[in-house]
Amino acid sequence: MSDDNERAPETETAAERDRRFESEAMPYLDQLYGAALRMTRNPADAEDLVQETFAKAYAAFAQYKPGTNLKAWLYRILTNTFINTYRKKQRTPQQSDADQIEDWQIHRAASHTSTGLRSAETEALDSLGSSEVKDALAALPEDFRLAVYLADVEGFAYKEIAEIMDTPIGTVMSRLHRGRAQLRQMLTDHARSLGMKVGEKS
Amino acid sequence: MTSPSENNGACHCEEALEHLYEYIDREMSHGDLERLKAHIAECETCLDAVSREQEVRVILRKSCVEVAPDELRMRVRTQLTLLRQSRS
Repeated sequence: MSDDNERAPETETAAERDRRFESEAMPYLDQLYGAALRMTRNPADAEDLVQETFAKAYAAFAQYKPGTNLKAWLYRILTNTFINTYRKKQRTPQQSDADQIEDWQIHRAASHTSTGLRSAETEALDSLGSSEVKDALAALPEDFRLAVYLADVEGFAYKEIAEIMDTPIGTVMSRLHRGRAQLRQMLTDHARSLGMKVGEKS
Repeated sequence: MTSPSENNGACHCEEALEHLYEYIDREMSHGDLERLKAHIAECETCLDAVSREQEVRVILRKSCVEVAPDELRMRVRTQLTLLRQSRS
């Protein structure tokens, strides 16, 4: 294992590395802020989290191997920082353990798949505003929320999510299954409560 | 849970729906992907399920686009400058 060969070249000067950080890592600012907002669920914590993430990424940038997945590397720092620092001082109360979510919610979600009214549901979902969608995501238990966000918004592969969240792939898959089912259920319920007549098309 | 690869024959609804997420996420072997694809193309129920999941994803992506506030951009830049100076 000659890991060293894959690290930032020994010959690279600090100034060169600074420029590389500027041109490669800084463009992820908006995306990381978006992820931080979904994690912390409030803008003040999200800004602090992103700032701390960039400080840590800058300090560790010599260990990042050029040519590997920089986005995943940055998200891992973001997620670790969130879990270790911000989760403790969350201003909104945490929900109970994600993996103990009531099964009735999943059964309810499953029962809707056989109604044969899918296009009506899709139509109603489409008219939900982005704040309603973000509220629904925010209501998911944290572990589910992170997995769904990383997969569905950021498009990370299961393996990458497993590394980012430091958890086995099987856990990622079960969080995705349950998180997606719950999210869809909430969105459908919300669309229905807005009087969009999901499933009532005659 | 049966692994799709244990089943070498044609794919049916039960298998396709059970592995719907892996299919949409392209997290299965090429062979399984092709088998599910062949079934889904022919089956309205499964095709509906796939497009509904994809629709939720489109809505989610659209809703989660954010632009970092200018103030944060400045904070990050200032901090990097300070870190750079403290190093030298």
